[in-house]
Amino acid sequence: MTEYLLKIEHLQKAYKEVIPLKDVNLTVSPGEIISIIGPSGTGKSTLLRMINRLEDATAGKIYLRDMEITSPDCDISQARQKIGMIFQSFNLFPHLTVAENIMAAPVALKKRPRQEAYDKAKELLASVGLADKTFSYPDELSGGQQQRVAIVRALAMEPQLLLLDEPTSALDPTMTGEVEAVIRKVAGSGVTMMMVTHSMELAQRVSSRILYMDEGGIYEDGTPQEIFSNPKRERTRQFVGQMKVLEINIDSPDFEFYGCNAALESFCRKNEIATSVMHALMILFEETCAQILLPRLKEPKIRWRLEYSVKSEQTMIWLEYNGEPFDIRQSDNDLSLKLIRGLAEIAEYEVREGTERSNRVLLEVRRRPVKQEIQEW
Amino acid sequence: MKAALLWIIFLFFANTCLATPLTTEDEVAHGRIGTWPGSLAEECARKSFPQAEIVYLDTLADMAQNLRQKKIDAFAMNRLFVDELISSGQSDVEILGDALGKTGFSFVFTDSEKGKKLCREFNAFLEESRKNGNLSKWQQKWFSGDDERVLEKITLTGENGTLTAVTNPSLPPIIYMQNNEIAGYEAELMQQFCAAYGYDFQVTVATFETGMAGVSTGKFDIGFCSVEIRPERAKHFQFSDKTWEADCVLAVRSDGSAGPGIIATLKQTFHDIFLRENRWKLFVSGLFTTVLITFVSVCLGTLLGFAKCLLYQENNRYLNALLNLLSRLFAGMPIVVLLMIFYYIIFGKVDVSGTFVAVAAFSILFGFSVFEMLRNSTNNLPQGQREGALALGFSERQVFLRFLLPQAVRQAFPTYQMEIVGLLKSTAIVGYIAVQDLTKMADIIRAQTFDAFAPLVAITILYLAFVWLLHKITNYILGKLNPKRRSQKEILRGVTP
Repeated sequence: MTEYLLKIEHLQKAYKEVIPLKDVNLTVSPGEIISIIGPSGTGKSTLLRMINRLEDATAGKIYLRDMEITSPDCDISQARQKIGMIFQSFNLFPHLTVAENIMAAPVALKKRPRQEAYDKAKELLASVGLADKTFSYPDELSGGQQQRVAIVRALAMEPQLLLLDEPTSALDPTMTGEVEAVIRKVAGSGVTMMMVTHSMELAQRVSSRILYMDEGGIYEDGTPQEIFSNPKRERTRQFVGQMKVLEINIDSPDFEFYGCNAALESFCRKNEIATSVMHALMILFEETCAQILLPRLKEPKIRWRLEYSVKSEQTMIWLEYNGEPFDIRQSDNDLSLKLIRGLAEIAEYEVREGTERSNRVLLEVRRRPVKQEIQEW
Repeated sequence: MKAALLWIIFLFFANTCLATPLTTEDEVAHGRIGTWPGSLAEECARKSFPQAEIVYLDTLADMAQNLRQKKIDAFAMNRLFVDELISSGQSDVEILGDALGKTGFSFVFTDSEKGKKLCREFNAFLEESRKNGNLSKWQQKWFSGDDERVLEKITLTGENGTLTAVTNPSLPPIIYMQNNEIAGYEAELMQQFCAAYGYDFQVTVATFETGMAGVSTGKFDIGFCSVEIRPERAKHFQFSDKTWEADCVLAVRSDGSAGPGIIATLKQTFHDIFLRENRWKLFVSGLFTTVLITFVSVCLGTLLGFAKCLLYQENNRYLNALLNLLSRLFAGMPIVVLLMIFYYIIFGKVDVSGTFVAVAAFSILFGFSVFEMLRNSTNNLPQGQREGALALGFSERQVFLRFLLPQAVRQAFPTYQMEIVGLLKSTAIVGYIAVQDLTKMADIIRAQTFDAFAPLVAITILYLAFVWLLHKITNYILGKLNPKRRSQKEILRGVTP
């Protein structure tokens, strides 16, 4: 039997209107460094905050070793002493010096002698490069320094588990580096960590395990290698590639062509897609939908889905439509086909039986149009 | 500031010195007549001048001042008081025409067996005094206007018990304050009556309305402050026979004699307000009462506020609902009403002083505002403060006491300072429950000197000085509350770096 540090079973969090977490199951072994990533609003922070019960679960159980945290009989203050937490907003106590911030809990809760707590604080501060700030007040420190103090404050309690809730999100870009360095150092020291972060780089560098959260639960769970280089599932891939997605649905022959063009244009501008690519996309949209597909389909059901990866700057179009199996490459509209081929590579065609839009074509948009073919035309 | 005050004083006296032409009865008939509400004088004025507008004013000093400034054309009043007013040096007032009617005064007693017995005894005493000539001797002494008006102390044996009496000593020569003691015709009667019937008495000073209410509810045995016998009042009290009867007359502006110069007037005013009959003692005792009520209420109220805050933090649903309800109730209720409830209902049958009642009421009131302040500033702290402390493993109560409260106190402090000044100003109404605070003393002196304004200027200066002192004290505390002003030693207690 493997010894777990934390076990989460069928955890659910429901509000009146939404259910951010439907069913979460997770086992954390001692020494693991876990990063939780995912789009906003998928309950990452909520999950973290339920582990030390800053928020209560609607259903399900959480165990810290053999202590059931979710039980009403649990002495939650006792449990929290074993679980450190780092907040986005630092949450240092402004009326106390750095030393007092760090010493408060060990002295009051662990009944450590003041001298011992002070020496420990000094030692920890020195290890994060803040020995000279012992008697400063939080408002005299920069954001990065405050967050380092907050980490020291949590470490002073010698926690079994350290929760970090977006530790670098509130920081200026110039200060994230110093905090990340400290986090890496702590991760190297053997403390079990669970960190919610928006920084893929940080997640990739420090973690031994990544949880991608989406659709009300843990959507994909794997090593950094698996998640970042070889995601198995669709949404993970989109997120990790930092995909921006635009979907245009055409459900009638007289759809609003200019409206779609405007939507496409604003999407490109918002995501800073190169103008040349934007023009290519507009032409592709017109040729595929208006020229080739619409004349063929009496009751069109077309989904024109654009995926743009911020990271790789690659643009792909998924074109799904109804009707008899028909690869657009079979179209007799040579002019349109030529135009399309000049701007994108038609990578894939498949028929998906039983779905409403049974035809699917994948277009990979070229960074540069193929000049030859344009010239030919 | 000083200049502005001097200007106010100057304008006031300049106004005083202006001579004004005489008023005719015809002018009065279509003009405005000042009087006391519900008095016989009002009845007389309405009967004689049905077309005139009746204006209700509080004190004789106010009537004289209104008259002087032509806000009213005349006031209807017992001749005794008008004579007193004129003989006190207010030569710009004179009596117009014939008497409008008669008015007379009585003592009032609680409508109970004890009250009835006292009333009978008092009437017998009056009858006896009239027969043996004492009554006219006393009337001569107090009403003649010479300076021999001193209440000689008689040692009261009190073998038949101590009577509680209430009065409003603002009507010389009937009842007023002299050397910080009550004096006047009615005071003489009270003392002589007690001496003759083996009583001792303890007198409380209150407004007329409070005094009457106090007698009718049985808080006091006897009330005397020139009470007129009125049929609607007879339902609530036992009236004695008349102790004195006088004409009701109409007082109007006269051309007067040109007053002395401004400097001389100021000197005279200063003398009348502070030096004559040691009146400064009244200010001192009033100031002491005001300071005492404010200071004790602030201290007790602050403690109460903290206690309520701690109770609230327990998160008991019913307790918190109760605290919220009471807080709303106290914040929304007029303070006068609150004081009255405390005085007549909660402490109605308990023999406690008005000052005690005032301190109790103001402490509770202030306690609720401190509670509201602390609760609001605690709620306004960033949510992260609470969560940060909870996540370290502190209990809710520890979080509140160690981390939230110290921050909330500092945030709430400016409001706290303002509330203290607010409390000080609210104490000016304690006169309603028979407490002689600074404002009440000013009223008493206004009644004695017939000077409507100068005593108010005097107490304003005293109030301002006290506010200034309070500000100094609270600012000092604010400085102490700044965590950054702590010494290294305090921060490092128990630690050698």
